[in-house]
Amino acid sequence: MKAERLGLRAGDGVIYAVLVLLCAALFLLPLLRDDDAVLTAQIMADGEVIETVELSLSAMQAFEETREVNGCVIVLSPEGVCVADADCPDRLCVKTGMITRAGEAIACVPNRVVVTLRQARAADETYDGVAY
Amino acid sequence: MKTKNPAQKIALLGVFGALALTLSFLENTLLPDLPLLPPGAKLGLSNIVTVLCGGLFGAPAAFAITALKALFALVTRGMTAGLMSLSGGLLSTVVLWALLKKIGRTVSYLGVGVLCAAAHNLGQLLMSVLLTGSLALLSYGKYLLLFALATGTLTGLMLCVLVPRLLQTGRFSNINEAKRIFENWR
Repeated sequence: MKAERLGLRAGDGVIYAVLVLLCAALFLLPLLRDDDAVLTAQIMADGEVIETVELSLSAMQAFEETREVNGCVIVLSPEGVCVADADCPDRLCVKTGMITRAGEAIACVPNRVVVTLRQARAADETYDGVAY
Repeated sequence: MKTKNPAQKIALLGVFGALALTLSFLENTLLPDLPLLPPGAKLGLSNIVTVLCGGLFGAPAAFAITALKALFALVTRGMTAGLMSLSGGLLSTVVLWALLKKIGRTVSYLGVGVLCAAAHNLGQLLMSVLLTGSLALLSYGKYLLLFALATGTLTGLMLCVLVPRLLQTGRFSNINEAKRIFENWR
């Protein structure tokens, strides 16, 4: 369909250019982060941090740990974090799946629970780095 | 906003209000949460009606539809959904209000549709930050913006095709707001 038939104007191009550039910047900036870094999972409920867990085999007691917070079952592993079950109506937190990168988060808005991944330290500071 | 026949406007707004509720209901029940999409992302079909009402009857009508949609979400899907609908709807309608006089001059419904979709998602993101008290949720912003670009283009294109045809029917010719857009359209 031709542009004049749709009644397109110059302002449309400006709106698209700004939004696409903003979107590209938001996607590209996190890629600058260290991908192999050791992560910590920060669990927040009702606006307060209730626990911070380092996600590494050396710091965790088992390969997989679970926490139950405000009706959300949070599964923590060195791979990442996911919400396995929740008693909220929409269960969007469960559908989010597993998050694995620093800066990512899972939220359960009805239960007011947020799990955030943060970078704890660079990968070369872990035990693997000094093993040989 | 003055019309020769207020009853006609009220009746039409009622019809459009019902249409908006039907579209959001269909979207919530028939379309499952698609994989690979940001959680909670919706097509925003009912936003077509909001922008359409803004274009035909002026900004107050768009705010009325937004309030109706939020009330519907509150009653049928609970407090969280109601607040999400209200925050997204309000921000998107404010953007619509700001751009309304420019439709047909410097922007078309395509640009307005995309910007309104982005504003809708931003409003919901800010509300979820407010409800959970965690700024970490802002990292969802990029997925929501990408999604808004796609859905906004879809709804914007629909409006670009729909509005001239609706105006051509002449049913809205005694509504000042619609008349002005019709004259600017060519």
